[in-house]
Amino acid sequence: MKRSISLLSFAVLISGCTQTPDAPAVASPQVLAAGQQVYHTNCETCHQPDGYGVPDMQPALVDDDIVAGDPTQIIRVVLQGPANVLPAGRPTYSNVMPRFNQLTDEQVADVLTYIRHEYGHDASPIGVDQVKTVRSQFP
Amino acid sequence: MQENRFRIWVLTLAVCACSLLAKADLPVPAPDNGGLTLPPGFHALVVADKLGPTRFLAVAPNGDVYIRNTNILVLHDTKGDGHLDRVGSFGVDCGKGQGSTGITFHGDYLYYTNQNTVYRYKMTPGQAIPTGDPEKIVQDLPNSGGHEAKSITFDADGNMYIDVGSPFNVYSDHDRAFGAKGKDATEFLKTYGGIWRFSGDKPNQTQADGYRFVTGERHTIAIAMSPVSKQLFGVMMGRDQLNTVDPADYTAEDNAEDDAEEMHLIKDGSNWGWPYSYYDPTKKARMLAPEFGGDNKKQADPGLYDDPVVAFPGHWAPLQMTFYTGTQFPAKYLNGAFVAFHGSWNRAPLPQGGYNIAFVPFDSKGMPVGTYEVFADNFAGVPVIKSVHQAKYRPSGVAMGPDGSLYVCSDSGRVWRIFYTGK
Repeated sequence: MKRSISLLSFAVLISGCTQTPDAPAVASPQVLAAGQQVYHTNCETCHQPDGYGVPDMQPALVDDDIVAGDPTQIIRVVLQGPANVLPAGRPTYSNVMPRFNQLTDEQVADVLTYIRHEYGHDASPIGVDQVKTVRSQFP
Repeated sequence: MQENRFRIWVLTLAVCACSLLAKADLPVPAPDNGGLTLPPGFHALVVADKLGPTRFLAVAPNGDVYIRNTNILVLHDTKGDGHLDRVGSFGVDCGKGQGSTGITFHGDYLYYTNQNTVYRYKMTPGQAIPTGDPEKIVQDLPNSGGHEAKSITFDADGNMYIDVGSPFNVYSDHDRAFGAKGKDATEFLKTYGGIWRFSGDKPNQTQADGYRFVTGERHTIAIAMSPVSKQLFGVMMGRDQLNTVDPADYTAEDNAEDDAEEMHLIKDGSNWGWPYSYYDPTKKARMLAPEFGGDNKKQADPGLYDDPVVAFPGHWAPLQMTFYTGTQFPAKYLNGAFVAFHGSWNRAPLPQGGYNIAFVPFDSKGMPVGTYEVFADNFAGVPVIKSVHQAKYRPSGVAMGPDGSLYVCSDSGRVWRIFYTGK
């Protein structure tokens, strides 16, 4: 029993560090349109309609390594807020982004797919199951 | 002795200023007024550029411009054509970013701030750059990152007023988040979210040596004294994100238009209502904040908080303010106030606003008449600003020169001189 728990923990740990296997290969136009809508409602007031943020106040998403990087990390940034996820010593900004855990798994997947497509040089889409998994790991 | 030195300093500078005026008079304006739009008869010239990130500025009695970045830059008109050359820099422990903001001349001293501290240098006539170490006037002021900028204003009796801003949008759990819940701010407001009065001369004061003159305000660095009423006025940066916190009761339009940047009379014991309320310029009412049960309909309890004397549109971000005491501009400007608005980010998806120098008319008793007008505009360089990134320049400072010209700087280190020819 103990062994199976530790194996499970190991598996969770691994999945937390790497891309989960169910990432969709290509973002559909429908998902991008839905993600854009979520962005309009929840993100653009701070990160701005063009994704360039506001100097010193809120970071740019365009060409950002975290946006285009590890899917688990960027999902956690949305669900938990960056202050609870990103390493200390990172560049900080005047306004602290709150958690957006009120968004559904689908909304998080859509908006991250949109942002990674729009501002992250076509980084891989984010699937609903990936969000569901991360949410269950980091409630 | 102190008074004699002050007289010599003033006299010397007055002589310098007169000779400068006689030599230079008004410069030749730029054909495009440096990209600015101005009322008829006004012109502008870019007098310095590419100074790096800059915040507030102050003009010495001889016309030299002292401007804040991570130290204090000195700009001087070496050729007599209005253009300013960088002739030096100085300053210790100047802070960075928003922390490196405050600068003002008072008596024969130049005062400046970082995010925690007020310093002053003794200025010597004929020496643009002071020698020796600065004197620490106030130390260990609170700063938690975010809205840490501090400006310096004196009243007619030489008292010094320093605002300690709030790092929060609203004092609440999960600040700025959907559903954020307000918290009792009584303890927090003992050290933040207020304007404290200090001695302007006593060294090594701490916040405990100061007197909390105004409370319940979020962050106010646009502060200046009316030369007529001798009252201080300040323009507060209002709260953000009504519709993020409570989308059921607030639209994006409500958030953009209905939470004013408030100009207040700074009077002893005032409470401006932050974080519990905000002022809605459309309803002309002080409203209960959604974090504290507001729903875009409930007003704050009457009588608790001051109403603003002028309500500017939401999110314009007031930075530096100065009264106009010169005679160069037409008479309507005399004893009115100019406010540098950095420009908004929190009006999206509506177009952004601000990015201008506004003029606030004051009456013969030194009180605002209640309106404002945009004086200098088009800093952004685009007709519609959707995103901050599109704006070419964002005003960060405004101050008057000895000849009555207005000096304006952007946060990217461009300085304009605005003057009136009537032509």
